[in-house]
Amino acid sequence: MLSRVVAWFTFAVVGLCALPLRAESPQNFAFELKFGPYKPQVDSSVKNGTPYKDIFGSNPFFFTQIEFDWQFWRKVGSFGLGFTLGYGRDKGKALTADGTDKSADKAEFHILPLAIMLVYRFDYVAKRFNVPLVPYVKFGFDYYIWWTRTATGKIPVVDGKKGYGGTWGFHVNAGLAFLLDFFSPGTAKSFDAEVGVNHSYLFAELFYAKVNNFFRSRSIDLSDLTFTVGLAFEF
Amino acid sequence: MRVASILSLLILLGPLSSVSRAQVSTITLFSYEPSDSSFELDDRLGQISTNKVEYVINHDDCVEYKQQGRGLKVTFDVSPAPTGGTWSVEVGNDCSNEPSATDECKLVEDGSRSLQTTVTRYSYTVPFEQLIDIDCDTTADKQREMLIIVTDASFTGEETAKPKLELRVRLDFTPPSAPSGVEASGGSNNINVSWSSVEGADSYRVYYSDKEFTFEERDSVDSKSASSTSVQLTGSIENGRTYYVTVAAVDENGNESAFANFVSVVPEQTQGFYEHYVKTAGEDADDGGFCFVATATFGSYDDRRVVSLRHFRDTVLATSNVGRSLIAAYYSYGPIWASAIAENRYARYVVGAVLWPIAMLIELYGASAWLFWLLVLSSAGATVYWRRRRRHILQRTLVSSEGGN
Repeated sequence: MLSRVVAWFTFAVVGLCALPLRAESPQNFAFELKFGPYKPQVDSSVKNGTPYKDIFGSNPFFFTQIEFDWQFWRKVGSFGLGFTLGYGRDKGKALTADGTDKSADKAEFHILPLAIMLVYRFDYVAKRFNVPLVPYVKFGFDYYIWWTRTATGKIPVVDGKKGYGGTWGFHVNAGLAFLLDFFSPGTAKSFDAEVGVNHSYLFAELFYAKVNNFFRSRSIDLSDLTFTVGLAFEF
Repeated sequence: MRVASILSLLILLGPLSSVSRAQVSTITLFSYEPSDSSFELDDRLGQISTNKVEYVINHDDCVEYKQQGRGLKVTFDVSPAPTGGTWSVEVGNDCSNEPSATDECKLVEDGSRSLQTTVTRYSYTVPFEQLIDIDCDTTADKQREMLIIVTDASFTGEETAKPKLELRVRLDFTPPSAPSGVEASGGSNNINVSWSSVEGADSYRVYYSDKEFTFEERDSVDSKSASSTSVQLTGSIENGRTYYVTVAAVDENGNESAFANFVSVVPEQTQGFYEHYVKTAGEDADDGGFCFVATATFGSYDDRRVVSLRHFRDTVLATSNVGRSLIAAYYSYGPIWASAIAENRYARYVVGAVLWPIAMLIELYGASAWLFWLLVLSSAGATVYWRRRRRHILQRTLVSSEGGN
């Protein structure tokens, strides 16, 4: 059974390789829309206690990002300069005044990550041999804007400290994109001719963010190791 | 002979002397208004018209209009000018077939007036007591009509052919059912209230007070409208005080139901995330804030980012002549700019948008100088590379076009 599966898979790949390369419109940019879970490691910067977990629990929240890349070099693969904008919100219940129990009040924690990065996509094999897989890596710097809200929707001020701010960091991503042109080359060609989108991808990436003002003290830690999935378009 | 001529002339002139003026054929509504200026008509869901029933009188309107002896003043026009005659006003549930055997519409008291040959506009004030004609506390949802009939002196046709003006109003005194299942939980200076939905309710009104109250006292306590089945009360809520909360359903015509069950709740101080984080982290807690250019645009003088900027000033700018000149200029003009910026919200936005990327770079320098320089050198390198590539592409384009020629 396994040998049959392997045989069919090999046949498919070889068959694909036989497909001729198509002419494309100029390609200079990429756009991504991606989603994933996120849980900032706030408690790792607190020596005695787990304030984030006490309010928001252990489950991650839903996190969205959009990315725009300028592919300034295209030879063996492509190098691009990327910019991302994201948003995520965690919700929980405030504690009672003595901090021993949950109260009826809501609590919210928001992040708005901004990032600039270098992106390398190894699409040489995909373009040359029609293998629909494109691995890539990204490295960049982040600035996470964060803020909290009280039950009445206000941003708290505690002992002169403000419940909002920005934290610097960096991230490294590694992912694998599946070239959707594989399913319908004719549609991909029309998409390129009519809209200018050269390629479409479905991708998954591992996302490691270290956002703690580069290990400085007195800084909220918004780091996480997580994953995202999404759609990408090159145009 | 002469007498015969005169008689003949009179006979001839007789019909001519009573040259027929056209009788009133149309009557149109000009306006309607309160009988006096001390109250306003509640134009709920539309206007009084002759074509459809839009205007609604609800229970509260009924109580107010009848108790205060209010009336509805209707002004109408007749065309052409009458030759004389009378006009009358009737009210009832359905006046469309008047006059009819059932005589559902009845003449109001003093509802018959004279038409003047030179007057085409007339007014009549019908008391709401007569227009409504039922008890306000009955659960009614019915139509009422006011009929104005013009009987021109020259009219000779059937009664049903007389020009008429029918005005329709709707009486809706039926409140929705009272909500049930009211629950309330107290947070810090707020109360969260929820309840079960009510069929036919267009909205809800939540009443609350630190003293017990009755339905009749509801206008003297605090309340808040809600379009869904939950609401957060934040107005004048004090921690540690007992509040009594209830809910009434309101239909589209403003009829309010009886109260739901009362619940009592005591809001208490709570600890939100940032407060809990600061208490737990102590000195390691992030101070928060963005801060640049001291207080004017973003933050406070003692913010860690301002500390970083001062460090940048002292360790980088102050070590050179150019840097010291910049510092001197900043302290000469900075306070004036800061004052202007602080007073103008739009100036803060513009200055913030311009300075924010600069602030981020300087903050990055404060956070990690080597990363700052790595970013600067990488950007410079990328710019140089891009410009050289563009120049190379342009040169190639020029060469190929010259070769083609």
